[in-house]
Amino acid sequence: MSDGKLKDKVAIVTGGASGLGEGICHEFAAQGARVVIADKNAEGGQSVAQEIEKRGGEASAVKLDVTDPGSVARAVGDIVERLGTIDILVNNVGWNSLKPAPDYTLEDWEKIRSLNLDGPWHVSKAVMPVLIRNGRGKIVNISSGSGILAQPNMSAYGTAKHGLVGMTKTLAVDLARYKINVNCICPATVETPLVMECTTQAYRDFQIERIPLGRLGKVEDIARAALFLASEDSDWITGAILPVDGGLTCCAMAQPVEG
Amino acid sequence: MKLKDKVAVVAGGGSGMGETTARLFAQEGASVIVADLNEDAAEKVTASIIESLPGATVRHQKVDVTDEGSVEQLARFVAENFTAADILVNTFGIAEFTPMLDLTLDQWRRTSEVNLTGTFLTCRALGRQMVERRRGKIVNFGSTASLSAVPGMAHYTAAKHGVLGLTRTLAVEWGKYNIHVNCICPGATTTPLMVNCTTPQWREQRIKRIPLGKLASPENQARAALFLASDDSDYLTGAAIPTDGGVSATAAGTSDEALAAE
Repeated sequence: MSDGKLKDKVAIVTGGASGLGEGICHEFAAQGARVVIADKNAEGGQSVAQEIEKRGGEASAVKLDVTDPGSVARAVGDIVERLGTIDILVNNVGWNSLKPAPDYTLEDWEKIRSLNLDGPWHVSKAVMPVLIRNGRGKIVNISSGSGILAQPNMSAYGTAKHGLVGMTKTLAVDLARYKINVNCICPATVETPLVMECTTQAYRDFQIERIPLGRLGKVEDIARAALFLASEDSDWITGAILPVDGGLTCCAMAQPVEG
Repeated sequence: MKLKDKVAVVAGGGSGMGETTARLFAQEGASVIVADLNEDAAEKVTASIIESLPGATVRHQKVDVTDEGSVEQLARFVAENFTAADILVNTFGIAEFTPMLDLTLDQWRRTSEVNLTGTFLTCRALGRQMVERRRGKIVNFGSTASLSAVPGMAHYTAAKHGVLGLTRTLAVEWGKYNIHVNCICPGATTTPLMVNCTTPQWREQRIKRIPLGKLASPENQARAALFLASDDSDYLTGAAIPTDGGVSATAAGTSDEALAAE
């Protein structure tokens, strides 16, 4: 484990207690990273950390609410105190609620915006001074296919995720002088436990019909792309928006092949 | 090893990014076919890889990517010696600066033939083997010129935009065959081609416009190609990864430049 691509790197994964984030934590730990699971669900974070340690990796958990700058500052301070530094940040927290645009309430909008866009901003801002001091670092944002093209009934989420794409490019340009790479992954629907619970088979089939590779994403598909963007293999890539979506967003017509 | 037991054709493998890619893929366990118009160069690269990696399977083959018969011959060589290609990397390309009003039709045609038609022909010939076997990885080398304008290079920019269009279309057409077609978009990279077609002054100016503040190395590009050729990218298709130090993310150069101007 010690010879992995992320040997001894301190990596924070927000929303690391479940789903995509959990998968990313396991992938990074298997590559030698010292993983910090930063999640609102502290117990869930602890249990992922224990699972990682059981597999021989190094991990710890910290409670963090990305929408609360005070909570973010405390968590980042705690991590730096405990582990000495931060090398990698994965802004993975995200949340969605599907509605036609006319049905969204102000509360819906604010919740979706604050989790998907304000959150990554607050955490990036808090981690930035540490990366700048190191003169290197990697920030990986998890946006969405909805950050590249529209998907029906996701106006608030799509707007926030497009915003995260914009944040990726602008931070990439501003932080390049400190040798900090900022990139973004845009997954389509991924088979996380939450997605499997919240969607119907009919809805998933509707998605699959529009995906050239003919299947939904798996957690490890996204985790491996995140590993690439967190490792030295991508040292020359910054400001990139990487669709990991089975081809969904490269074909705007969303037609089945030969349809 | 990321490419153990894979058969990889590196078209344009005789120099520059192609040479580095061929070497890295062989290190990662692939059997590599170094294909190039310059047969001597392909042979030298092949010999040098085998020398540093005893036991590696590396062969060379002359190919003119603009010639349908020559590309089909490359595909036959692969089929006869290796059954089929698992991976095709199109690293070849030509470029030179010429302002639009001075561009000749011959320059336009030649640039389009090598960069775009060449990619079409190799994708079709080796892609056929992949379709039959219901798997494959194609990595096309686009350019920042696939994503944005390069003044003084209308012919190259048009052809490289075409490479991205071809990449995306094949990704959708061949998705059902489990074939992944992606593209990396290198920025200015320190290859013999780039050094030959630019002046030191141009390169200095260029560096000032690169957010990460230096030119890319062929190794940077080969690492991205490896990601797209390996299982690590099994859910990526139709993607264009800019490997350009941040150039294509910015409309107005670097943060340093802007601060200096304020």
